[in-house]
Amino acid sequence: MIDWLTVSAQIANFLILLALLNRFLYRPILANMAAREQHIQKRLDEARQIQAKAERLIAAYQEKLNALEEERARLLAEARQAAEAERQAWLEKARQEVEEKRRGWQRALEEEQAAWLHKLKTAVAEQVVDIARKALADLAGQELEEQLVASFLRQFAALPQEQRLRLESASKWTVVTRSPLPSATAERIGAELKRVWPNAAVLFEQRGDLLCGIALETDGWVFNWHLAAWLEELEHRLREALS
Amino acid sequence: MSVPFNPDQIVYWRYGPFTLNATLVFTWGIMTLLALGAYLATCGLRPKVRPGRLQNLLEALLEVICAQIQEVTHQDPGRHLPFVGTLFLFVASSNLLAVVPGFWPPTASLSTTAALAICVFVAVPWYGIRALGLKQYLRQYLEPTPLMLPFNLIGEFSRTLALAVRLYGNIMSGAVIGAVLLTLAPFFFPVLMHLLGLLTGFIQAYIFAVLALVFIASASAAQEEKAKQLAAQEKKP
Repeated sequence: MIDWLTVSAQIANFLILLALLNRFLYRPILANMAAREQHIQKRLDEARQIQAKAERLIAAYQEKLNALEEERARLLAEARQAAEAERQAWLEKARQEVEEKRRGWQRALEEEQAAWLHKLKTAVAEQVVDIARKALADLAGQELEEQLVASFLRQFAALPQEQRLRLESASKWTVVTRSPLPSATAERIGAELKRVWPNAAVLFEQRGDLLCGIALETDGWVFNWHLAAWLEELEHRLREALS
Repeated sequence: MSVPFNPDQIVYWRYGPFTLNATLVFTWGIMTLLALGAYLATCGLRPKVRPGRLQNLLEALLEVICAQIQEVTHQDPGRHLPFVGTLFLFVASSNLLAVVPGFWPPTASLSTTAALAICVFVAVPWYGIRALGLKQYLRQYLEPTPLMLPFNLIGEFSRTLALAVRLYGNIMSGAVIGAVLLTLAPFFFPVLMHLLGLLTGFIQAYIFAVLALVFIASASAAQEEKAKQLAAQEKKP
């Protein structure tokens, strides 16, 4: 049954087939599989590296983004602060300007008021003086100025002795009125002054700001006898009424 | 009418004691087919990420064989793959081609199965010696006592004989039954028997390869165990 020649030939055949398959099948395919495995492993490693790199990059960019966000917030806060400070400064400046203008207006108003009051005072004084003068002339047949001067002279004569002594060295007397005095009246004043201070010179002078009455001036001394006092009172009451 | 049950008996050419019979011719045919197919399949191999269909098929085949070797031996499959794989491919292709009319499977010849069994018979000590060295391997026949030496040797031979006869018997019986049925019922039964032959042929190829693997692996595994024990004993004073 067994042909030993065939058996030995078959053994040889099997060994040859083994060698052939080993050469053409097992080794190439196993090597190929190993190479592919290696290749895939390499690709996986590369992918892992790239992923790690990408993650690092993401982290870095996130950090940068956070820093930028912080910087932005800081700048915004600074800008807000600066804007607020600027706004306050402008407000303060505007307030000051308004205040200044208000003060200016106030001043102008006061000045206007003062001017008006002065004008009123002057007008009232003139009216009062006119009425008085007219009343005196019509009712009593007397001149206002004359009565004024007479009264002034009476007061002057009643000057206390010690004051009179203090004015002893006066060398010059100035008689101030609003309008020129009638010559008779002027002479009366001059005579009265000469009677007391025989050496002193007597001058007559007119001033617009003296409303009604008479002022007597010498070295640093003034004797007033006019309507200024009650005109002041009037002005005071008017100011109160206006405010 | 005589039916040649053995392809050894179909002689094409004769020169003195040398005969060119069907066994050799069809063996060469299978060898050419396998080698040429392997060459054509692997000549254009590239380590691509996505292999082609044929490459995929071959890789899957080798993967299955490797997995089987791994499962049976629990050892590195690369060491046993060429021998066991070639056994399996040769026997399987021989048995499967038996369905081709006019093809005489070489495995139906006791000469072929004997040759393969002798190869296994030689491969067992070959692998053993390669794994452990000659001295360690030979010592295995004297275990557990030198008295066991004849039984060990008988076991070794009978194993080889059983392997050869099992394959031969199965394949030859398939061929013989096919031939007998062909004479009795020429149309239907032979086809069924051929189909059955495909199944048994494939199973026989698997069994032959796995048995060879088990013989080789169990011997070398036992030897490795023994070597470890010996090494452990030598270490102790």
